[in-house]
Amino acid sequence: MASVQLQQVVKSYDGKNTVIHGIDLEIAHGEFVVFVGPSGCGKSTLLRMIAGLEGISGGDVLIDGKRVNDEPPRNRDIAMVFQDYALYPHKSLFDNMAFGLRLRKTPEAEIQRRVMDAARLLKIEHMLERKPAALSGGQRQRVAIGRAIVRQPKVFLFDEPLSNLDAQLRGQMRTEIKKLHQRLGATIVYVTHDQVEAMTLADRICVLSAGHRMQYATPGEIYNSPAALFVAGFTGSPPMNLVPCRIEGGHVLLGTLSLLLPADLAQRAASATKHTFGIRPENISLADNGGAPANAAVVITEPLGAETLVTFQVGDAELVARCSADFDLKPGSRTMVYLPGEHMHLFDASSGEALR
Amino acid sequence: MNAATAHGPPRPLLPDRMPPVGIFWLFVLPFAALTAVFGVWPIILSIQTSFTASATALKPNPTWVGLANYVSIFADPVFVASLWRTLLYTFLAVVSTITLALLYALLLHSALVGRGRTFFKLAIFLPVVTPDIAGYVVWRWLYDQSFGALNMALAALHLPTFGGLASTSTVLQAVLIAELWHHVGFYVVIFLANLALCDKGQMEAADIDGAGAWQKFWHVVLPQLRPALLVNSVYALIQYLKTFTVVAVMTKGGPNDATNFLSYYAYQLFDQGRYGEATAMASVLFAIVIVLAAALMRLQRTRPAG
Repeated sequence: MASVQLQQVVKSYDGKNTVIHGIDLEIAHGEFVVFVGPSGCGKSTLLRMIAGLEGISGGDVLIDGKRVNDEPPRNRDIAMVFQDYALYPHKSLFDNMAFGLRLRKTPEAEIQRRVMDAARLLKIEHMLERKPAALSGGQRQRVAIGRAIVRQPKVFLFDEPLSNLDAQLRGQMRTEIKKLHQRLGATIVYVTHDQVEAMTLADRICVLSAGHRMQYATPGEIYNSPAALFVAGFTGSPPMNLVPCRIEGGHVLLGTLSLLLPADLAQRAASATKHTFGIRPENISLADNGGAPANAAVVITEPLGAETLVTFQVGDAELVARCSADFDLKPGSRTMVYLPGEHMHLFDASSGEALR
Repeated sequence: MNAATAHGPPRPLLPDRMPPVGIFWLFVLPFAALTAVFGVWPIILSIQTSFTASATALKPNPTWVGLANYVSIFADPVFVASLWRTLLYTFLAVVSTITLALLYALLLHSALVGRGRTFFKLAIFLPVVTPDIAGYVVWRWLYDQSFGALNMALAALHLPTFGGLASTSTVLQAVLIAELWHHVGFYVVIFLANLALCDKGQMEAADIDGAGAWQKFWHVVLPQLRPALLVNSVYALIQYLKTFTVVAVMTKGGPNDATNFLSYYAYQLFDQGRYGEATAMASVLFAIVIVLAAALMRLQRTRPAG
C-alpha cells in the first residue's frame, strides 16, 4: 500500500500536442480513486503515466513519496488490469498469475500459496490449468485481477476493466471489485468513462475533461455540489437540468418565470454576467416543500417502473423531474412544481465554473 | 422498346441459387487442374520412372526393375555422402535463415531503426527480387581467389583470406552466405507481418509484471510468432533440401563433391541418361521433404497457440 502524488503532470506529444495540462492530485494510502471523463479526456493517459507506460513530459509522479518519472514500470511496484485483459494466451491461468512472481524469483511454495489464495478469492481455483482462450470475458478479467493481486503491489491500476463485459456482468464485477478493495485495503486508481462505476466505487473521484482536472472530491460532493457545468452535466442519470437564465433582483428568470434565489446564491451571482441555472431531477417536487413555486405543463412522461421521469415546461425552459411511479398526469395538463432554494445551482455560463 | 427491356435485366454472372459447394468447385477446379497437370503428374511420372531401367525409361514400354535403382543408389557412396551433406546443409541453412530473419525483423520492428526503416527493408528485400543466377555469378566473382573483392578487402584490413569456393573447408559457408543473402529478405517480410499483428497489451502487461527485454521476447513475442515460425521453417526446409541453382552456378558440386547436394547429383545422373537412378534420388528427396515438413508442422501444431 502506498500513496500516489501527481504534481503539475503534463503530457504532450512532439512538444506541441498537449493532452494532459498540469494535473495535481493526491491519492492517500488505501484510497480508491476513480478517474472519470468522456473518451479523449486523458484519463487513461494519466493512468498509464502512473504505470510508466507513457513518458512524463512535465511535472512529477511520486509513489510513496519517491519520484518515479524515470523508473520503468517494473521498478514502480504497481500492478495493472487492462481493458482487454492482456493475458498471455499460451500460458495457463496459473502461469499467467505466477509470471510476475517468477520474474521476481519468488520461492515456488510462496507462488503456489499466493496464486491459490487469489484464485479462491476470485472463484477461479477450479480452472487454473486452462488457457485464457477457454474462458469467458468475465473469467478472463478475474484472472487479470488475480494476476495483479498475487503481486501484492503498492498500487493497483485499473484501466476500464469492465468495459468489455455485458451490463449484468459489469454490475457483478463492480460489486466484487468494491469488496476486494475493502478486503485488501489497497490503494487503487481506476479509470472509467461510466459515471455509475465512478460513483459506486470511488472514495474520491477525479473528473477530467480535455486533459484538465475539473473536480477532485468525494462522490457525494461531486454529485451535490459540482464545481463546474461539465461535472454537473456528466454525473447523474438523467443528469442535472441545466438551462440558460437571467438574474434580476435576487430572482432567476427562466423566460417569463421568476424564481426567488436564496440570498447567498443571489449574492454570488453578481460575480458573473451570463448564468446557467441548474437543478437535479429529484429535487423538483410536486408537493409544496417550501421551495420556489412554479407553474408547469407536462410535456412528456417516461415511466421506468420504480419511478417516472417527467419533462415539464417551466417558463421557457424544459426541466426533467424524477417523480413517483404513480404519476398519472397526461401531457398537456398543468400542475405546480416546487424548486427548493438549497438545491439550486448557478454557473458562470462563460467560464463554466459553479458559483458556490 | 430498347435493348435492355427486350432482353430483360442483365443476367448475373453466377446463377442466383448456386449452392455454396458449387461456388467452391468453380473457384477451386481451375487451380486443382493446373496443380494436377503440372504438379502431381510429373511427380507420379518421376516415381514411376524410378522403378524402370534407365535405358528404357523414356520408351513407351519401359522395363520394370522393381527397387533395383534404389538398391543401386544406396550402394553408391557418392549418393550416401550427398544425402548426409544435403541434410547437414539444410539444417545449418534453416537455422541460420530463421535466426537471421527473426533478428533482422525484430530490429526493423523496434524503435532502434527509426527513420531508416524503409531503407533497411529495401536493402534486405532487394536480393529476393534479384534474379538468382545473376546474384550468384556476382558472388562467384566476390569469392574469386585471384581477383575477388572479398579477399582484396580482407587483405587490405590485414585479415586472413577466405578460401571461398576453392576450399572444401569453406565452400559450404561460402554457398550458405550467398544463399542467405538471396533468401533471408523473404523470411523477414513474413516475420514483420506477424510482428505487426502482435498484441501490444501483452507487452505492456509483461512490462508491468517486471519482465526485461529478453524475458519479454521469450515469454511474449516468441509465442505470438509461432505462425510465422511455422510457415518460415517449413518453407525454408523445403527450399534448402532442394538447393540447386547456387551449386549449378557457383561450384558445379565441387570442389571434390563438397557441395554435391542431392538435387545436383540427381541432375548430373539425369544428364548422363541414368534416368532410373536420378528419379530414384528425386523420389528419396521428395519423401524426405514430405516427412520432415509434415513432422515440423505436427510438432508446432501440437503446442496450442492460445
